[in-house]
Amino acid sequence: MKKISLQWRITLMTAILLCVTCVVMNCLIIYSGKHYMDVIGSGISAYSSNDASRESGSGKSDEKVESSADADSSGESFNPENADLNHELTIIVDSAQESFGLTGWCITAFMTLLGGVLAYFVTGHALKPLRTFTSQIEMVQPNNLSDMKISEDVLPEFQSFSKSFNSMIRRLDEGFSAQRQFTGNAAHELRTPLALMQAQMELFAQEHPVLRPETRDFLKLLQEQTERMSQMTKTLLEMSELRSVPCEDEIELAPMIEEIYTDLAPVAEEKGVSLKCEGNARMIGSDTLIYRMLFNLTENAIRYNRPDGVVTISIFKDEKFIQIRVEDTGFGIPEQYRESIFQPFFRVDKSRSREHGGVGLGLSLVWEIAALHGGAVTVEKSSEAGTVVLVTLRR
Amino acid sequence: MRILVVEDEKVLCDTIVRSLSRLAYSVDFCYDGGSAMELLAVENYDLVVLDLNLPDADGMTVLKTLRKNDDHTKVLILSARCDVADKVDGLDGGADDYLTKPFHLEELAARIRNLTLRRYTQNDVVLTCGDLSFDTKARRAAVGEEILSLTRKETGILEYLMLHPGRPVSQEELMEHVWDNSVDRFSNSIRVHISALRKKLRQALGYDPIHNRIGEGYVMEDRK
Repeated sequence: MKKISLQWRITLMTAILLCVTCVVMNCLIIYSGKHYMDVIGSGISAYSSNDASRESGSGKSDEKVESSADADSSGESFNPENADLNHELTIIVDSAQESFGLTGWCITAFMTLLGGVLAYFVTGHALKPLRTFTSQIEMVQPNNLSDMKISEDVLPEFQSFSKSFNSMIRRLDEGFSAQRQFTGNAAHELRTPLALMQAQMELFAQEHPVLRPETRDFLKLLQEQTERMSQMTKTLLEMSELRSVPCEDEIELAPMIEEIYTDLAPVAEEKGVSLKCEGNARMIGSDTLIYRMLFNLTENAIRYNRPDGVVTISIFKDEKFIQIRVEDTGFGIPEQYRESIFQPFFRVDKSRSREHGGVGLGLSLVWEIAALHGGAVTVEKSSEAGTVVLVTLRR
Repeated sequence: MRILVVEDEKVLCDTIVRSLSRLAYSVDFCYDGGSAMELLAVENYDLVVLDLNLPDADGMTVLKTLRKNDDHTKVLILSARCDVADKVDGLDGGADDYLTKPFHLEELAARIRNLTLRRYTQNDVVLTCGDLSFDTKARRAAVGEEILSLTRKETGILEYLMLHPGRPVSQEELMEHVWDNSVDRFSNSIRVHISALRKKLRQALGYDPIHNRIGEGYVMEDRK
């Protein structure tokens, strides 16, 4: 009963109610109908027997007919004394009672059915405001909270509902804008000191072209770490602002991967890794984010590959989903880390990862982007011969 | 060339001023929006480096006040705000360029050069970037003596990127300036041309002078 829609539920209940009422009404009508048919039948037979045996006294016969009609309601209303005379009449009354009952039941069944069908359509019409309401609610998205408001001019039952829904939207909007405000402030607070440090060091290097080797190394180290920190701030900000990015671009994946391969060609060449791509698909999403996602996955696949390895991206599509597999011939990811690699700042091998650089946010950004596009990213398989990362996206 | 630097972080302001002075610009500075508006009303600058979060009056107000009766002073916004919406607001409000913090002084200098020299570059017949040269009259690219064979689209892209060195050029901007209206504006077609161009350049030069900054655009740079 829980899975049945409201419209069907109301229809079923109305039909059952209608059925019960009709059956009871029909029983009563049949009962009283038959009773009165008997009365009519007895009346006629009494009249004809009076006609036939007027000498034997009408009063006695009258009494007998009345008493037999009273006693026998099922219609077996014949009197042994009048049997010969009234046989034909009794049969007529009997069959009339039978067909009366049958017709009654047929009408009951038909009316119940008709009532049920009508109830279905009437309920559908009566539930229209609920559907309008639902479609209004469906239009509320995180990025249009501030301009959305559910109409409060609805059925009395929904009024308090739509009011509380509106106030919930307002609170959510306040929450989101507070978060955006916070991100904006955090950006300013973090980026300004970083900008200052970076600019100061660069100016120092410009103003002092000739430096002692220790100072030069020290400055280089500081510059590298500041650069890393600004990359990290940038990625963190990118992650916190993901949700506000519109996902409406039409994207063709093969040219995009072609460009990513061009971007990463120097890195791949250095390691002797060859890059391959199979298949193509079109999808709707944020061009920048999908690019970033595939770039990060490809970059990882190259970085953690063996020298002279291969990176293959293959794209499959069906009606609903696009599957992108990024396959490398690297050393594989240990079983227990296959889910944690998508967490921010997680590193499989602390010491080795440092050499590879990066800030430890690449894969968690991939995870967030896939989720934002109604998809997911998983390690499909991984062994010492290589790893396959599978991204599933909604079309 | 006179430049005004408006930045509330005093040390950063000082650093930028010193760095720009070294490049022989004459530089003034102030730390808040109010004095920026006063200076802009009295003095005549070629370019303003403008922060957005300022005490007194914020950067957008300064920009709007300036743009009311002055269209020729170039404005470069230098801000920690990195939202696309902020950038669009800034550029729509009349700014000529937008650079987010943290930044490299070299990039700031390149962008300033780019903005202030823009009107002279048209007279320059041959553009160069490292070993790569582009003859704007013959519309021909060459590495040393060797002339590169590029398609019409690739030539257009390369020319536009070389006209705007040091600054990221977005796909939309390229599409607006290199593609004519009749062509299918489907954003992926530009990818194919750029990838092809970059491969050719890499083969000829031994390195790829075009860098893709994800979410920002393509930058022409001398070396890796």
